[in-house]
Amino acid sequence: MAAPPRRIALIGNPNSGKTTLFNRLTGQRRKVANYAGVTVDRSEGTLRGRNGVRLFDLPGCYSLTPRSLDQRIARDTLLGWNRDEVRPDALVVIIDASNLERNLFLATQLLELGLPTVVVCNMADVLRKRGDRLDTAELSARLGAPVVATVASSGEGIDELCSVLDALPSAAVCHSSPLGVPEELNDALADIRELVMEQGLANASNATLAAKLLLSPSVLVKDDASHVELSDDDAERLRAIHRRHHIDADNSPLTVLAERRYAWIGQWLDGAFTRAEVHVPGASERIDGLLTHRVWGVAAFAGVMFLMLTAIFSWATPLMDGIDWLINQKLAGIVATVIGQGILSDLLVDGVIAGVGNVVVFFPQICILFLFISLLEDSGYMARVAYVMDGLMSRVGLHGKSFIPMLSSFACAVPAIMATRTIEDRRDRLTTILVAPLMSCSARLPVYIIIISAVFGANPWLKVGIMMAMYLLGTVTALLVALVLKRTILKGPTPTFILELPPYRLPRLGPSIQSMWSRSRVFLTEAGTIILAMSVVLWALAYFPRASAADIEAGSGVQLRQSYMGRIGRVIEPVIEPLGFDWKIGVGLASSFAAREVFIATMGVVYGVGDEVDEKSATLREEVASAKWPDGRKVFTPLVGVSLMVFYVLACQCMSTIAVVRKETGNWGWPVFMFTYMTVLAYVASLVVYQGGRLLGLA
Amino acid sequence: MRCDVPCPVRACWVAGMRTRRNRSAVAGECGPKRMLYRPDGVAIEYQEKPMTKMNAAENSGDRILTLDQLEVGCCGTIENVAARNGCGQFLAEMGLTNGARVTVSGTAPLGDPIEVSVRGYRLSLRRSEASTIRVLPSPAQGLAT
Ligand SMILES: Nc1nc2c(ncn2[C@@H]2O[C@H](COP(=O)(O)OP(=O)(O)OP(=O)(O)O)[C@@H](O)[C@H]2O)c(=O)[nH]1
Ligand SMILES: [Mg+2]
Repeated sequence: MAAPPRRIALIGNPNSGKTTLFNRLTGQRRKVANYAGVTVDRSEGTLRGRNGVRLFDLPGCYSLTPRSLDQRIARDTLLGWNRDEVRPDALVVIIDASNLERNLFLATQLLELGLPTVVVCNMADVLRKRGDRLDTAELSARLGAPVVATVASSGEGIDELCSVLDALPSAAVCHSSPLGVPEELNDALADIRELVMEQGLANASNATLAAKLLLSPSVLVKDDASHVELSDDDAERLRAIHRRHHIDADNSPLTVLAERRYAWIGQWLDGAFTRAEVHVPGASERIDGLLTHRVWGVAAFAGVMFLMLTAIFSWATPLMDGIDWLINQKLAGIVATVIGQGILSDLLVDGVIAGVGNVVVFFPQICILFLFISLLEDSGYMARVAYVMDGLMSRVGLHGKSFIPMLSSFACAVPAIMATRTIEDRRDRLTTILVAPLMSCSARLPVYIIIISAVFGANPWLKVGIMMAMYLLGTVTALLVALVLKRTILKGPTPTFILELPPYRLPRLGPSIQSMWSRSRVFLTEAGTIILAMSVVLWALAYFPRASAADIEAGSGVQLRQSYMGRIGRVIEPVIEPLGFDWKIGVGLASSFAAREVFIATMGVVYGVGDEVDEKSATLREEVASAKWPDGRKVFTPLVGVSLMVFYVLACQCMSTIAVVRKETGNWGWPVFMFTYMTVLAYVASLVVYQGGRLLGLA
Repeated sequence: MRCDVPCPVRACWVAGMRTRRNRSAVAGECGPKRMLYRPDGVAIEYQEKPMTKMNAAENSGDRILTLDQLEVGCCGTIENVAARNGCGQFLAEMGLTNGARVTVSGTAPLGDPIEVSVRGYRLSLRRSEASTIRVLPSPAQGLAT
């Protein structure tokens, strides 16, 4: 029987390059970005070329006292505190060589875990560029563990790391630990060590470290991220030990230990690390001054958003028209001639192509959006946005970090909701989860584009302006809702905000395109699955029952009106008429609850099946623009367009979001609450816009 | 976990480095006694005591400021961190320990939070947390008093 695979965990400070290294070592493509807290869950992979080695990528942490859920995942994996899981067999500790002191802090704790350990000094290129020098051999001798210098982003040093991993001993090791504890703590430590051993929270090699961690009073606080599951008896025992030694929330002995660790690190580095003599203020400082400036910072942010939306509207248009022509004209034509007249051709042309094809047309726009977001993430700008926004967010009752998930929501709310794991307080995290879906995600983009281009004509400035207004509406509403939630059901103190600001890096095009691709692929998958399925269903609803030939002769739109869809539409109509929508839009709205893009598919199918005269020349945009009420009025007036977009900004029309909220909050209450409040808000806002507009005479 | 807004309480070392001359005043104050550990591991009893005018005056006499009072571009050496509610532990773990040099490198557009550089990296924190960190400004930087 083959030996069970070795399990090696990759761990280090946030943003030290763990995932970049993990991707190198396993060939996977996990998300990498230049800010702390990108990886929020554990991922697993097999070391390339070595089947017997399993690697784990963990969320980054600053110490083994976690402050948020993602860091807790890391701690529990490392100490084997997850249920039904043993500790890893070995560690790869990743250190950002350009930030040695603070990165070594975690390393001092990890070395005490007693596992075979390799220390990787990543970002060696940054070190070189600064002119600093690190003697890895010397550092290795002092740490008592092999040290490898790498550049994970270029692959330098990876081979050496692999061979060091091969040579790593398998037995537990005891690294020299010069870290003495203050005498007064010895008794407390001994007591806790006993408890830890009895409860199987640690074995002989890491009991001292585990005991040290339990010196922190926060492990006894149920709501705290560093909470450790203990039986009531043990918790009481630990509490008694804390009391006996005057340990309480204001006085954690780990603070003293932290100071000792830093003193120790100073000794380690003395002689092994030499800083360059002169420090020239780098580009990072200058860019920072600009981007966090009172005026320029805001201008820069608005400029970036404007550039992105202009790119989406103008640059993508030729590509979009090309795809449109290819699918809706050529492909539809070919299918029609090859298959000939009949129900199958109708299904393919009016159902599948009109539904899926019209959604796929938006692929270039989606790619541009994702590319911009990837570039922003990789540049180091995200953390600055959190920093700049903190002043505003603290007034809402959250902190700047909540803005990072909200910003990633511009791409998709699902990963954004996962990313809220980095938020320390449970109530703040919930609040962020509940408002993140209000940010306009990529699925809304096609809806905005089709409505704006159908209704607001050719003026590009107006189009971009309206689009920006929609993004702004989502953001402002999210902040207002957060404010209300934090004042009512999720009341709690304004959290502390302590965030590392990473150095700016020039985003590399390759990885950004890769990350763009992995995100946009989801869009294509969705088009091929849920949108395809919905298109077929919608087509069938619109196609059956067939009207008699005589009826069709009698007037246009008869087939659609008497189809199942038409009947459903008439049921919906009274509900949505006050918003200014006809029953076709109503069906689109209702089917969008499966996924927002289905609105486009619905319009495609509705106007595809509805066309008795088969003139396939008009694009969907033109068809939408020329749609009429039975009495000849235009359906899509500017007012209706705005009302419809406002509905899409605010409504919760995404199954995946609801599923992920269920998963992250652990019950159905919150997703139901979120769905309800968003949909009610959407309806009311849309109503106010349309009726208000009519009163003002805008209709 | 959160740190309280700065409260008008400051730590006085009963036996220890800074405010020995205050000992009699401290002894008379009420408030819970706590144990603190100096970097060399010696335990010290400390007692909370409301900030008085005299303390404030004494502060400026020693030119000890809190981190949020340091102007942009100025640097100083951390004297002690009195953050409460677990925040102190995190600040220490992030490298804001006694003796560490910090430079205030900027403030956010709304004036809060501030950006500091410590141990070769950048960190942002709110003024309320910064005000729990007492620093001795470096004379080389020419701080206006
Ligand atoms: N210059 C340079 N940049 C690197 C190197 N390794 C990683 N990076 C960059 O550092 C940033 C962070 O990389 P990640 O791999 O996401 O870091 P992480 O440790 O997984 O971060 P978290 O998941 O947030 O804990 C990215 O922008 C990478 O491109 C390196 O060796 N040199
Ligand atoms: Mg990562």
